[in-house]
Amino acid sequence: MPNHSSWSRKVFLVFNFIFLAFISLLCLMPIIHILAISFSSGNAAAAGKVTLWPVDFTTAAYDNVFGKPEYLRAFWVSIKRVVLGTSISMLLTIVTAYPLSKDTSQFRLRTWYAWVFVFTILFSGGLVPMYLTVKSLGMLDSIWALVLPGAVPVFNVILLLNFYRNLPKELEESSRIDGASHFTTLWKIYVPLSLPALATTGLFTIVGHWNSWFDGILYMNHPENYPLQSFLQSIIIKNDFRFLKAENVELMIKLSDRTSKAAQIFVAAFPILIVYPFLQRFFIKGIVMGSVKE
Amino acid sequence: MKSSKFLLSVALVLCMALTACGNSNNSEGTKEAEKKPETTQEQGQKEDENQVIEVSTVSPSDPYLKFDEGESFDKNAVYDAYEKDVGVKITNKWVAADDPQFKEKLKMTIASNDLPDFVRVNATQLKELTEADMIMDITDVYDQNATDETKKFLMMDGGMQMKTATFDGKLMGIPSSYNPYQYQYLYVRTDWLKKLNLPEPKTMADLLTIAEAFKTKDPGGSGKAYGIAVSKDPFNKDTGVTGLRAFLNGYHAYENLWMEDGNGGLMNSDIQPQVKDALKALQDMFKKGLIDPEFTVKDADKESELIYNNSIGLVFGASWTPAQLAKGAVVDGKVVQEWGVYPIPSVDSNPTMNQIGLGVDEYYVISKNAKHPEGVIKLLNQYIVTQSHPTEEQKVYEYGKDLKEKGANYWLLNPLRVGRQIDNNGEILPKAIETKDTSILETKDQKTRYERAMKYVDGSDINMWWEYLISGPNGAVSHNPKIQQNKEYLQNKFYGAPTPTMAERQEILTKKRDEVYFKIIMNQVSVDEFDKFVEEWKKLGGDEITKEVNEWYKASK
Amino acid sequence: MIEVSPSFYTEKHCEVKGMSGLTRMFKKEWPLHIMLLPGLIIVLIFSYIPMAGIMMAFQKYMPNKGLFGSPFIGMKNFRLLMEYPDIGQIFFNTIFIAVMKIIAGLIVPITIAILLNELRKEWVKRTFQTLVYLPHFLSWVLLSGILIDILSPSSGILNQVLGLFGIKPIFFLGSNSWFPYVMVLSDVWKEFGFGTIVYLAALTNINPSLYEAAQIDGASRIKQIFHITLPGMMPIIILMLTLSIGNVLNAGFDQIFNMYSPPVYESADIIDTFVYRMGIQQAQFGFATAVGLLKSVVSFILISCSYVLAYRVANYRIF
Repeated sequence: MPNHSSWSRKVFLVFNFIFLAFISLLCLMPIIHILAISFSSGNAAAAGKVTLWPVDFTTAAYDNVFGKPEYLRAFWVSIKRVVLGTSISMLLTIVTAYPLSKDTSQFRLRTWYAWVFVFTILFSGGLVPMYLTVKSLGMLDSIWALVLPGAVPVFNVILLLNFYRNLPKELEESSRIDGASHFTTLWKIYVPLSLPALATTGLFTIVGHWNSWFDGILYMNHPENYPLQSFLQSIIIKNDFRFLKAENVELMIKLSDRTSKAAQIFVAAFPILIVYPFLQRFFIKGIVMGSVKE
Repeated sequence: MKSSKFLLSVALVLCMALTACGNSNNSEGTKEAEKKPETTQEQGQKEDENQVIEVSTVSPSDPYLKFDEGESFDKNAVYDAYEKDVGVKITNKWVAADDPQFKEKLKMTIASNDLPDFVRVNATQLKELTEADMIMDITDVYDQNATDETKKFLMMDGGMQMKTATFDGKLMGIPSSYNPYQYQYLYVRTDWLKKLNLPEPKTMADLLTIAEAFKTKDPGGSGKAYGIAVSKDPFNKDTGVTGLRAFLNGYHAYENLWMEDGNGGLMNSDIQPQVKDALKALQDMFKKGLIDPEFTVKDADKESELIYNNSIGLVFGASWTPAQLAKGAVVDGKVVQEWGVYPIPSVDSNPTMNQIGLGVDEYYVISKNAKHPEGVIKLLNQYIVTQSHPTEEQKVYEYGKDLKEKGANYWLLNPLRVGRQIDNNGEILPKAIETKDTSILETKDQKTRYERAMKYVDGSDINMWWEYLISGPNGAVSHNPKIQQNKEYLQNKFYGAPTPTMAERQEILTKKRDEVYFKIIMNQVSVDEFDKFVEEWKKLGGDEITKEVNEWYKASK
Repeated sequence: MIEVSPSFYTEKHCEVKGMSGLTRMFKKEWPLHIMLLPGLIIVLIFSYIPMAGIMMAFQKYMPNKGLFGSPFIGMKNFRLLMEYPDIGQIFFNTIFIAVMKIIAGLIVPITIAILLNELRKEWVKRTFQTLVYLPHFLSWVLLSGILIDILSPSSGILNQVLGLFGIKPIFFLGSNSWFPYVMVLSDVWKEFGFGTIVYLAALTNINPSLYEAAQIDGASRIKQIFHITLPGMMPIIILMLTLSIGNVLNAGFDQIFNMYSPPVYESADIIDTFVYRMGIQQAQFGFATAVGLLKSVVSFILISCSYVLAYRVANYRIF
């Protein structure tokens, strides 16, 4: 847009850049701090000497994390969970959002159905009945216990149906006139046109699956089946001193080691940080309109 | 064309439905896996002639438990040893990665009425399970199957801990006992005392002098020195280091303790006038800048930063405190901070009474549906044998099949563990370490500690400095014999699950107490607010609780 | 077949006249029903069946008797909550912190999304967008330690900066007048990256030809933002607002629990921290379930109201 290279516009662009750079830096600082701790010696970290640069540089903490054979196994469970969970959730999100995005004139019960779904994010029976349900389905200790209970992410469905509704109506109409079924319209027109929204909901689903740890602890009866975040919990959370007996003292010294905790946090977050920029490719402006003109 | 596409889509949806159902197929698999124990149980019954019985439990693993090649919670040297030696096969219904997770999962296991044959629960759960009639009255099973050694072992404290597991004369659980005589001590930087030419702390006045000198003269040269280390939850019994319970004790005040009121009843320590004196002293210290004003938001680890970086040289803590101090005191195999341990000083000529607990907060209970409760008692008998006088062969219970220490922590695999209710580490260890006399060492714990301390003494592992400060001459436990002899300790007279009003009102009482205590210490309100708090405490349910506790006290006498 | 639906979303159904119309409609609509089926099965099994657990709020739950055999104790759990001496203060704190978080959590991400959208270089935009999402991955246990350092009155960087302007050190986490605002600001800082992503996606949905037309008309950049960008994002903004209104009783347990202390109880104690402390005293499931139910009912009422309002006023269905 060359016609807007006025003086005030340039000033705005510079300030905007500086402002956003400052905000981004604020968000980056804690990560750098944790990274610095993870590469510092235990003594320096415990004494709070580390700020943004490692003190007494060492990779001992990472050797410790990667030295555990359980780490790779848990990592693999997490990968399986994310792939399986995200595919099922995305598929369900796409097909559930489509009918709900219709007008009442096209789909009379849509509002009723929408509330059936929304109700589930408002009311919950709590952990115990949830556990009993999963248990009675025989899913304890299986990957399905991590994937199916949250397989319909209602927030994402609502988000996506709002995007669907903003798609140009003519597209759907012309496709329907051509005799395409609802399914064809959904796959051939809606899905390709809502890529930015799908990338957004996909990201949330991936992050959600990757980060959740409590269900792993709850539903898995053997630590071998833990996903990564559940596995890391047993090391990261604070040690419970209440039942400390003489034998445990030696363990305690190792457990409150800040550097391994920092390393583990980083190791756990790293894979997601790689996925994110990849997904960003789909946040392309104007993709919708581009295809209308065809 | 159109219909084929449509069929395709239907197939897709069906596929998804199938994936959803696939899990139910899968569940068959899991169900079969669940059935397995039953079949093995049948085998177990077949083997009954060979006297092998099976008991199920649930276990916490531990990040520092390292299995030998090919071993796991399903099959390992310790379980095999139990099966071989006492004919009890141990199975796990589930395993959690560590103790906090074990507790989360245990809640679910109880709530879904799916108890294994035996399990470790806390005092509140013990009462709930007893009320819900889900666990077995084990009075007779224990009586018939426990060996004399076991019975003696669990009665070393005079029967107090067993009493806490008894309801209406019925024994409902085996206390997961440990030594209740766990005192707190005062830890001081002795190199600073020397540098500033200060006396050792014998009285509270000495403590104040030292704290002030440490603050004003800043011997560590950090530029932001304080007198004493205090962290965010200082009155909680779980705060083992950087707490203030010991300080209260020095003023003959105690944290939420039920003590004799002199008229044959019980009273709560939180509202006694001695607390006011202690708070007044703390407020004075705060005004002088001896206490880190940010202590309210710092946990023990955070506050310890100030200890590690030479800002603070005075801290109260349990006997294991040196393990915490070691992170700042030993750097690159060199001791850079010198610490001394002293008994809690007293404000007057009366000795300080150490506030201690009961030494039991968990119990092993046996499910009502257990087929072989006697198997559980057999495990208990065997554990006590292997702990008290293990043969060379029985070291497998401690170290696994190689019978030697290699840091694998195999002792964690023993499914039912009880500890000695009394230890004489204080009499034995300092003497043994000083004279290098191994012949007087009695228990396994003493031998382990002796070996660790000697590594520091002979210079082979300076990191073991902390064990020397705990167990060595003039170490923490060396003060125990005197405390023990003169009975300078005070035990809570109320035990067991909370009374009805306690369950509903203890939270608000603790909240109000903490608010007032903290505000007085931080000089936000006058110390006289304490008197208002006492009135409020009584009104908010304190009086009601006192009544209930006294009824309980009369009934339990 | 289904008559449960409240009147406000059934008006249009009345247009259907007679059996033949109904059958015709079903003939036309059945693929849409089929599409919803898998999702419905999932929520039926994993949300609606477990909802039976709500009964625990009115029960003394006994594990061996189960949900359907445990004795009912009426409203005892709710009475316990309502008779709590500090209940007014706790509700006030919760709503005060939550409402400020809702408002700030709406304005900040929208602003950042619009500003990001103004950046010219695509890679700069992407980098910034990635960076602002980072704090979302850190837990409050960890961040509380970092915040204590940053906000420390003796050594914290913030107070040092304020000191340059002659402002005396402030103990942000220990002062009742500052604590709630610190919670709001730090929460917005941690989570605004999430909202920014949603709004950026919403921006892609705006027709570029609208901007072209505006430019030809000579509309200024600011005008374009207010007349094209914001209205274009409005459906998503209203949606996000409605959903966040349901959180009016959730002030953020993990965050506050890791940073509060007795001296700031009067401004920091919220429903969830209170329930947590009660849970240490009594291991009953009933009390926590009762409080959860209360929160759900409040959310349900608020979300329903905003739904009706949006429909009545703007003739727009949020979902």
